[in-house]
Amino acid sequence: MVELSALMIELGNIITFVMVVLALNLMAGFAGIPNFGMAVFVYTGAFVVGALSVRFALLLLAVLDPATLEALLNKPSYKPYVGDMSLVEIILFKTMEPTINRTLIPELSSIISQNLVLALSVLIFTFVVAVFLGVVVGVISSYAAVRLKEDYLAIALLAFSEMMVQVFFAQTDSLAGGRYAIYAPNMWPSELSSVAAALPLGVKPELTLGLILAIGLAALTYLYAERIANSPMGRALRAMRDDEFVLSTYGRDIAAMRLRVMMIGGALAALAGVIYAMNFQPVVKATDYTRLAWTFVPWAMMIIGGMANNLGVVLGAVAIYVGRKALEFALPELFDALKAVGLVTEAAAVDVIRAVAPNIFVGVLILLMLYLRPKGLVEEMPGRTLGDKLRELKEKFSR
Amino acid sequence: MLRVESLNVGYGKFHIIFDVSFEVKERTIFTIVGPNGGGKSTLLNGIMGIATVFSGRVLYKGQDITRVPPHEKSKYGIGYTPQTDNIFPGLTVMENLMMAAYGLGESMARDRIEKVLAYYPALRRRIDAKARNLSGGERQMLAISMNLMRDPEFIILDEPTSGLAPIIAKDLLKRIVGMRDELKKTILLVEQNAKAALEVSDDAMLLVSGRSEFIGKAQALLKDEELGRKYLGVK
Amino acid sequence: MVLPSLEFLLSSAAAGAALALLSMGITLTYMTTRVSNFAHATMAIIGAVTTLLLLDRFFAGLRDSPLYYTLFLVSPLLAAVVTGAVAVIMYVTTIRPLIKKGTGLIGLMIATLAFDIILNNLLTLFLQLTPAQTVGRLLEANVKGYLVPVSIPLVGYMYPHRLFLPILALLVGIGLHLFLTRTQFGISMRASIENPQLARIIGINVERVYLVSWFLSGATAGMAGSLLAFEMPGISPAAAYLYIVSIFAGSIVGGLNSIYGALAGGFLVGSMEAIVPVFISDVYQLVTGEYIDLLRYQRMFSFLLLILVLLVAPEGLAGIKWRGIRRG
Repeated sequence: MVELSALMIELGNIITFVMVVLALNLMAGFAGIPNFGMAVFVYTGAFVVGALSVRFALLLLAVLDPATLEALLNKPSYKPYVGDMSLVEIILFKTMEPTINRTLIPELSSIISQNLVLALSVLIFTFVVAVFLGVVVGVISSYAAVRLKEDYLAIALLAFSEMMVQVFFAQTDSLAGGRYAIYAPNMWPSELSSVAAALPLGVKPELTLGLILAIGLAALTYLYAERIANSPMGRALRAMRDDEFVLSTYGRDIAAMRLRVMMIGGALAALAGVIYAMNFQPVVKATDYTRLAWTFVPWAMMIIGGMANNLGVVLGAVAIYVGRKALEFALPELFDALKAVGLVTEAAAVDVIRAVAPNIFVGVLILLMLYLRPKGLVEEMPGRTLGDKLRELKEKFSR
Repeated sequence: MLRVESLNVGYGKFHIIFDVSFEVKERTIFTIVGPNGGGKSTLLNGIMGIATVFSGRVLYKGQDITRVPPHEKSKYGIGYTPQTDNIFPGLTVMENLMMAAYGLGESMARDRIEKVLAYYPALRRRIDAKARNLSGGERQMLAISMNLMRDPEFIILDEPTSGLAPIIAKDLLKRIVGMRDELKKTILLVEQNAKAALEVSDDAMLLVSGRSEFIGKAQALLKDEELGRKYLGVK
Repeated sequence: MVLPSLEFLLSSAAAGAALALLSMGITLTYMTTRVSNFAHATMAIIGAVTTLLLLDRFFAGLRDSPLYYTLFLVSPLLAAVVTGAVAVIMYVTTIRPLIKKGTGLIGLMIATLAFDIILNNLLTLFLQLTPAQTVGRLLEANVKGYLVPVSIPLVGYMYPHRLFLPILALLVGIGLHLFLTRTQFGISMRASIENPQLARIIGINVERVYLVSWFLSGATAGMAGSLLAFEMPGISPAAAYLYIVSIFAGSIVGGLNSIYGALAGGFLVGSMEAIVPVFISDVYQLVTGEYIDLLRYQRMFSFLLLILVLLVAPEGLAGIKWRGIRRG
């Protein structure tokens, strides 16, 4: 029997992907911007949680409760790393040091949970800054998105993402851990945790809160994406994707529209990164935000669900995630069976196959989809409302 | 030699050519003229199999070639020179000619190139120039030479004189006449430059809004004052 | 050492030569089939793995014999055959059917990404499943351990593969030039690139031209990877995910529509990646007395060059057609 908390974490992961795919769909599905650099947007959110929120919390603590901060940072075990640095210097430059980070974050987390003002400030800071930075990355990307044609644009965005996440952040230890994992702090005040703890779930209350927040945000994201899709802007975006020239002759400012969609998509993807790092992935590490995990898999989800169709891509996200997980779990069983028959002898191979099989599965699935059903499982339904779609689905099933 | 029987042509859903029929006799020049947008190029594309043929037939020496794909038409002895993109601009003149002789075999290719260059001496002087550096007239010469490389019996030319200075256009038309008389080719010509083309043609058709308004002797069309004034800008 | 040693320059030239070959290959298939092939770097890694297997199985015993250095002649050729075949398989099973279906540029790019993921993961699987005493050992070891530096007049001791890489790149460049201008098939390849429609009307088998271009692209990637194997600290299929950015950078700096441009652009990007970080940190050390390690950011330099060329200096290397790259 699988534990409930493990199940909740998986659900949280699915919801993260749902948000990422909705953001990607806005940029690539509706606006036709081939964002092959999705990973940098998601990482931006995780970076805020792992690197910025911690520093913000410590700096705020310096104002609210200097004595506690002093006790927190002035430890003999930190001395070899910090020397005679001032507290502010330590906060800015040394908190990502793996040895310090490992002990500091759990202590900081418990301080945050005991201090309502601090907790709420950190929560608000995290979300505001993540949205802001997501918009900034969107603006930077749109610089390319406005100027380059599709294949060049795709290469440029991919390169941008890879360079920032896999080279710059992954190689710079003092910013956000670099090659080492850093821990995500708790941001929930004990007032909320105790309410969640009252639920008879038997899991950590922070996880319950995180999941509730994630579900709420994902639902809002979906409704927002639907509203954009069915607004005049959504129609203009689709028109831009299909025939940019015609649209520009009608006086629509293509550059402004591309900029806007990259800003909105960027903010949504960064929010997904926050949700993920804050609740479902205890460590933040740049090298985890690979092109495979956060660009290619979301693209697969979008293509399989059907581009420019919010409901479709959500279903695609769920299907791909579950499919990959199922493969991961089913393979050892399969291996045992093969071993019993004598077809396999190497036991160590299971781990490797578990690691590569879900990736090969997604690759093959994409190729098959591109060939057999390029429009996805759920085709684009132009300009219809959510109500229309639900009605159609109902009719489909009742038949 | 080529018979077109009540051909209906278009692209996708758009019906452009309506019930056009005509016949090109051996060793003659048949010219299709008409106002812009009248469907001249579409008709050629229909004959070549590039546009969609809704109904009707194209017979070549009595054989139905309506459904033969464009690149296989050269096997029947039909050579087609499109109006634009009819040369490889980054290749030299020699390379262009070699490509046009692709698959003919070394000695035959050399032989044909020699013949064509003898016919168009201007090209010989520019044999190693990149085709994109040729003048407009030289380009058309090269395109027609490439058409001749496979020694087709039947030649289709889509507006070869478009964009050329009048004097060069006239020279080009003279060479087309030469192709009929000296090289013994049959030529189907589409021309914007109606008066000059009709003067050298045997038969002609006037195509207006996808329908043939006149079929007959080229001289007769030239002399028809009403049609001439209305559609061809001839006084 | 603000003034670089000759050996350092030669090793930088080797890195440049490898990237020149790879950028050239990616440009070739872009020119013929309009596909930006994200699986190209993985092909180089396959070439490297082929060489390592060859080294382990056949050449390790020859280490003290002069015959050992025939490795540099045999292994690029063998690697070329293997990766050329992989590229052809990729084209026939994936790219060609999708092009026939009318898949757009982005769809094709996704397809190459998907193929790359499959290929890369299969390679990982292969390396991990091969008994540890052969390939497993190579994964960890510094491959240079397999090579004995040779003494070269004026230069001193250096690893021979670094000499072979520039020579190979030069030979491939000249060979390709002769192929494209002197052979009928080569000219028909250029014709098919320029005007596939007319090429078809004329009776050129454009399909075969495309197939050969994919083989050549894969084969040159394998050659580069074969010699690059000795430059890598160890073989990791995941290294391809970053290396592909440098390859595209070289190709784009070269104009993406010119074979010679790609050779030059690749060489520029590859050697810059090796030289610039070291140069900057040397100057920094000279001025401040502190040492900073910039080499780990070396791929950033190719990225910056790529962005610079795409956005700021769209004319790129002199005289290259840039029409149709930028929008509006």
